[in-house]
Amino acid sequence: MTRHTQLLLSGFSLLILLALLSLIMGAEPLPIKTVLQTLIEGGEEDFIVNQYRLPRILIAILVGMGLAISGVLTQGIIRNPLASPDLMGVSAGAGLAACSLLLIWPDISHLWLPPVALLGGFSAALIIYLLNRWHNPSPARLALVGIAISAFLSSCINFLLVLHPIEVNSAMIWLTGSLWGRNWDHLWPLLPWLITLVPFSFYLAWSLDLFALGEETAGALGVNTQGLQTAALLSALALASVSVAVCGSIGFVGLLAPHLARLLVGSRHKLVLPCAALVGALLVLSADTLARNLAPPLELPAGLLTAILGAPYFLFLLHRYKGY
Amino acid sequence: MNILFFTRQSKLLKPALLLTTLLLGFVLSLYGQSEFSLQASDLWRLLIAPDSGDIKQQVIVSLRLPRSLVACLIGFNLGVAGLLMQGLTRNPLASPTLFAINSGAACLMALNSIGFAFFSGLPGEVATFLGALCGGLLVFLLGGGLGSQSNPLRLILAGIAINGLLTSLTRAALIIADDKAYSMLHWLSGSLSEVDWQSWSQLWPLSLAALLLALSTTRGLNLNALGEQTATSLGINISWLRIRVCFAVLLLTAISVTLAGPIVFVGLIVPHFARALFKNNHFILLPASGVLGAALVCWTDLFSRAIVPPAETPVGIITALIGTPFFIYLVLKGKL
Amino acid sequence: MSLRSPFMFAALLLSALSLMSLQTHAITIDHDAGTLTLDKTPTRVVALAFSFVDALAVAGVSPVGIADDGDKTRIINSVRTLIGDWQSVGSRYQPSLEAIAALKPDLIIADSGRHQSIYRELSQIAPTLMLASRGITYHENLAVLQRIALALDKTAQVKARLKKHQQLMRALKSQFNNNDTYQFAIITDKGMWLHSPNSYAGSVIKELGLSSPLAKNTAEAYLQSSFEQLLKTNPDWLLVGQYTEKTVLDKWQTSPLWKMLSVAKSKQLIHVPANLWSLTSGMLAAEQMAQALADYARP
Repeated sequence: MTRHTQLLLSGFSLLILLALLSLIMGAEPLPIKTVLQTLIEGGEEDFIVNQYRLPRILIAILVGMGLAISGVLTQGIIRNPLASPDLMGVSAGAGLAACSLLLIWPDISHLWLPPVALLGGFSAALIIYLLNRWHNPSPARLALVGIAISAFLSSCINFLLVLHPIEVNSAMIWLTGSLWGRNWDHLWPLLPWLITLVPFSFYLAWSLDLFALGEETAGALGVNTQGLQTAALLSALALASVSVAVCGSIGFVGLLAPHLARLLVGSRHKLVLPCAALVGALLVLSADTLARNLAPPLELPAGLLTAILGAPYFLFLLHRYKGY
Repeated sequence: MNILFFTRQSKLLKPALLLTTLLLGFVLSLYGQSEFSLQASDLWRLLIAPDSGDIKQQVIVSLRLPRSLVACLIGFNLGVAGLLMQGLTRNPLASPTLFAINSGAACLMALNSIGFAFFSGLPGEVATFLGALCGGLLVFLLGGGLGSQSNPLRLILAGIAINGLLTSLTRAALIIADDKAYSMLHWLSGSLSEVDWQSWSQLWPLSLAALLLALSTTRGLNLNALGEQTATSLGINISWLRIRVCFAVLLLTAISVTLAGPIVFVGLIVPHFARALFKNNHFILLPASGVLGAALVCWTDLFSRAIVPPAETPVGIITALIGTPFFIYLVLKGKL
Repeated sequence: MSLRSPFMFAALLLSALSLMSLQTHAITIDHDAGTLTLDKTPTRVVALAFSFVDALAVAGVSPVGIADDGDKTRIINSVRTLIGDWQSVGSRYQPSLEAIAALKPDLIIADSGRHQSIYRELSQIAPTLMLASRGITYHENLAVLQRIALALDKTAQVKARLKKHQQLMRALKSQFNNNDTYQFAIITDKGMWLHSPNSYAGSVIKELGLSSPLAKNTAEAYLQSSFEQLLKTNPDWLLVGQYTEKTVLDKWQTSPLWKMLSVAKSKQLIHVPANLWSLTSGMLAAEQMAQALADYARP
């Protein structure tokens, strides 16, 4: 236990370090003394540090945590280590909802994007889940239904983009998953979801461990399997949808963070959940920091970097996993 | 007239109806929805008294005819590719999109367009075709295609990962080159508007080769449907079958996507209709899926010019919009 | 001291008057996000669209930062020669807010079509003017130019330059005495987009009194056109700006239908720089475009 606690603590300190680094680096690199001063009492660089970089860093951490925990819950319920919230069509549904808003009413305030995207992501995931459960549910079927529905939703997005070609670029930026232009306004809607759902997932940790032994075994040991599945999946969907609603689709985090966590601390959900949250936060934060600093002042979308980092590792995992 | 005669008549009825639908779509697309107000009479005049100076006839010959031919052949290819995928994986939800062929083509096309590194040196179509092949091969190899045990879930997940990566790269390229973004977007949704005789001359040889390869796998696929162990015990080499099928699917889809961009749902839906009409013999299902696919793409191409004239709606969008309700219907009916 | 003392009264009156005079130095401009009040004349300006850079050049103010997509050559020469060097602040769609803040500007001119989502943050850095740039026409752009001039307190200078511009345009207009139809299009390897009279290039062509081959009631600014549609449109003059090296024109020119186009017979197909005709959309660009059209028309 102590070893794991040490691990979690070092992960946490790594996160703080990375956050500080991210505060320093940028199109306009600032010395660390200035950064610390500005954090405490404002000053000349107040905009860059407190209004631009700080909220962005915090959002990256929270979104990373949300996606990672969503991934842990999804993998726990579907009992397949290669499942993820992306599979459930959350990104495509949220993308379609947000794009419809951006393209059909371009003058509307951007504060409407998160709730609308949330609704879209949730609905899409629910449709895929129900279609899967209708007849012969299985992980392969879930994946295939998810792919088909996501393809349909992407085609709808393309249709909207073709009809409104002038707005293509703003939609593209949102679709790829980017933290550009995210500030304190985007942070506040994120917090209540995370504050309620993260402790809730910890509450489910013990039941999830039992569920991993098999549905009947868990039932025999007193776990309400139906309730657990519903609660865990809904929480996973909510966390993923709200993250996508704020930043667009940042892929592979929900898939990889649980794996890396399991590699480090084993399979007990009580440990996997916090570890995955840390790993997810580190992934998204590093992706965003790199995105801002690879070619300043041009900014790449963070979603691209998580894909570039994530896909090869995922394939490596695929290679290693022989049994499922 | 005894009952056998009627049975034989009805056996011919289905293919006849199918071919008629295709032919009708083909002919209509030759003169339908044109800026020049082409009519059937122009087509008739072309057949009996060709005049190379008449602009209307030239439009039909130089622009419409290759476009309709390519549309039909691409539809045929995609229908067959879908059938092969579903036959191999024994999963009615499989489709060529799984293999990340479309996203591979799109990614390399986008990188080539924005002039990224060495990709920009290649001619556009070569880059696209290469991308399609690479995407497909990556998924095939990483999804355990060369292994002795086939694992459909692994294949699917490999496809999802590669798809995710390539789509992100494509979108990033679109963001970086924002002026070219919406010209690429049209192609990315599947469009037949820039197809000409050169495209046809590139399409038919490769398609023919791939279709012959596909034909050679029909016996294997019939037996594969009984289960892998049964098939092996009946003398089918599963690995060799898998390699041939995947190669055929790769070629058929790659050449289609290179010329017309990604057209989705054809490979997913068409085999189901073929099976509903013609039962389960792959030897008959292959041409049936092909003709159904050809009819679908041909008619869709016709509609693509009718939705918001004079602008063209990309074909891929229409096939997706038509395909999904059918897909959901099939899922709910338990057929998938 | 009592308030009724005459000296106090005088002092109060003087301070009130001086306060009022401070107020009259402040400029109030109407823009797409409401009204903006500037207390002093801005000297450090950041422009987030090319048409604004054109306007700044006309007003004689050199911007300290431009969202130039990382490529300085995107600014056309006639504008570049009038302004000094600048810092790039990133792409037009995703300008780096850090880079903008680091320049410590006292005015930011942003595109109300593209930058609505970051208006609040831009306002935190410096007073921000939200004006239309993307998809505007010739006359709309001249109105925007005048508002920028007002913000920079250069109204007189810009007015004089505008008068010269209008004289030039009228002079060039009189040089055209045919009924030929003119069409500008952007071509890439994926297709051709015609710019209608609702686009900038199209509206400049219209301003010169030249006719467009498109239908009168065309509402869109950009129309995608296939080869068949081009054959139907059949303009007398076709001006094309290329975004990619290889384009669909290369393919179309090999078709036997190509020779049926008017421009193929009359050789009135002209390649023009895309960043002048499509990207800049400003007054100086309009002058260059008009001059080029007049030069081509001369026999």
